[in-house]
Amino acid sequence: MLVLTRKSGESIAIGDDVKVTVLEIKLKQVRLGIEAPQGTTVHREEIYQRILEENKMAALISPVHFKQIDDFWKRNMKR
Amino acid sequence: MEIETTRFGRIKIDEDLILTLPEGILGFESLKRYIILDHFDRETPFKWLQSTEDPSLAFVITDPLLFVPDYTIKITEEEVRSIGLTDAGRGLIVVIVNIKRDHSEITINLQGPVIINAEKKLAKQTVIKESVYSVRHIIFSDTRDAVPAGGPSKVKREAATHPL
Repeated sequence: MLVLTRKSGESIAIGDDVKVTVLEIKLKQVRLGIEAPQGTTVHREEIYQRILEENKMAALISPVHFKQIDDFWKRNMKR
Repeated sequence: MEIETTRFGRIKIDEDLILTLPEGILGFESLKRYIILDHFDRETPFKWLQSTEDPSLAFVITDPLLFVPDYTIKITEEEVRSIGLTDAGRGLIVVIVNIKRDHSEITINLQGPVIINAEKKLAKQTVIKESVYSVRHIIFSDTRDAVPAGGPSKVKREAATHPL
């Protein structure tokens, strides 16, 4: 991992078109400004990662699973 | 028009019903067009959200209110506008269903709901950041046990009177 020290107001460039600027440092929080081309998704938080992983799992559901899910529903929810 | 799907073969869809997700689904950002497929069994509350661009990509979705009657989410003005809604209340909310690998649990993702503007055919998977809701909210667990949120004890009793 590349480790860089930056002061408030300074930036780092990643590749040709991504720039990260330290906007403000306040106690234990750092505000970052991110400039990236449109279409680049910037994942801010761990929760994005969790949802992304959940989506990847959910995308593997087959019609057989669908039937299992529906059977659960029919057994438990419907009268 | 007709589209190719891995799960259902070649199917006919109404082009006018194609939903556009300008940002895609998290993890599948490059795919932006989906169609909601009703199951042939209309009794089921589960539907497929099928990509019209990638035959192999489909998600099972459902209405979260069936499982969590008081489910409410906060979305930003910006998100509301991004799918062309003028009033957040007019958006439809669906959630993605998942099944644990060992099939012992069925969950819904309450933290990453998909908001749909049915009128304009625009949708977005949103991320609920500060939330009591889970990415894996269990709706059914084990093969003999029903654990729907909202009224577990009632449904459990009902289930018990109908042994499998």
